[in-house]
Amino acid sequence: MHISDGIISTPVCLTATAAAIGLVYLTGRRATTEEIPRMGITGAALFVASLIHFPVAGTSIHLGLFGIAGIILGRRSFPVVFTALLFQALIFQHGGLLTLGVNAINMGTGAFMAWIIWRITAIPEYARAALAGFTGIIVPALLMIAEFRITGYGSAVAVIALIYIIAALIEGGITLSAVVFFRKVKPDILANPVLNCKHEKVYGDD
Amino acid sequence: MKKYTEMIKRAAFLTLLIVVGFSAGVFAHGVNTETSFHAGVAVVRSTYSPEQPLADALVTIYSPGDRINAWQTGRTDKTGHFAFLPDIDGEWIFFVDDQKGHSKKTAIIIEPDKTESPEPDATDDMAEHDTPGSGPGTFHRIILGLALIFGITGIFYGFRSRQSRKQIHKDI
Repeated sequence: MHISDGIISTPVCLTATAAAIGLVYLTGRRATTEEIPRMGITGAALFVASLIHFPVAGTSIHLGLFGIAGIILGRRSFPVVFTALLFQALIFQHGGLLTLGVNAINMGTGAFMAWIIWRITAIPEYARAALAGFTGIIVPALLMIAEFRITGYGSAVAVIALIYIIAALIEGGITLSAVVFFRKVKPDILANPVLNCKHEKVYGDD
Repeated sequence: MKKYTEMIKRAAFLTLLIVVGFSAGVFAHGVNTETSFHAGVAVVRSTYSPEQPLADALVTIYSPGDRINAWQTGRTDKTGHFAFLPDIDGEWIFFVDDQKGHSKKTAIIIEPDKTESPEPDATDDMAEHDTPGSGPGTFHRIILGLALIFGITGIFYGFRSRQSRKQIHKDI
């Protein structure tokens, strides 16, 4: 899922990083005092999740939690994904600094798509949760495959999608479990505050 | 507001305690590396002492020209072997980390005529880095990352709540 340095051409990486920084500003500005601690905790979960590996089809995949991030944070998930990826690259050399923008756009799009699915209230909540978790992984995987193809890698890279389908199914199950848990213990976390923040003027909660 | 400020303060204090508490490092059995060359390919076998392979350990290789950006990363196989093809002569750095507190950094000298040399002196172990667990282990890195994330969250929270307070005063 994390593209390392040297795979995508440098101009593309730099353009993507510039775009990602712009998106961090656009999606992160005017975050309220209620959202910031939630963003921090979700960011910490995303940072640690990538270290949980499990073997699949001769290789190993790891959790992403982009679906959960999308459900909890909405569009605020983009700066959180960016920050988690930055520290994964700096501390674990997971991904690369040059490809940070590409990775952030891929995975941030996954979280954003998960949020869009989560908002479709016509679908039953638990189905939405599983689908959001699935989307949070499969969308970044498809974007990554498309980028590999554009860079010049052969059609064999599409095989990666098969592995990520398994990862996305696992992620869907985890997201569903998380939503069931939140619904029981803290249902207000599932009511995304960003949905109502268009004209908000929050002064704090005390 | 007070509730969140108190929560952030407690989290920051706990994080600080954990970082300080665990900074002493984890010491356990050592890591040995053994390098051989086969048709220009450097093969490094990493083992614990005594002769127990470092299977699936994280490997980072730095080329002679760039000590900051990794030239190659990967994992050792079940027998602790990792092979790579050095493309230039010089001192290559092989860093192996089992992410459980055991790591070792080894300098591998590539000479112009070194194509087949399973000599025992093929590697030049960097003694100052050989102490087991000298590099930060996975646990330390996780704590470091979490501390940074919570620290940034605290800074933004403080900044935002200050802005909110100013706005309240303005409105009053």
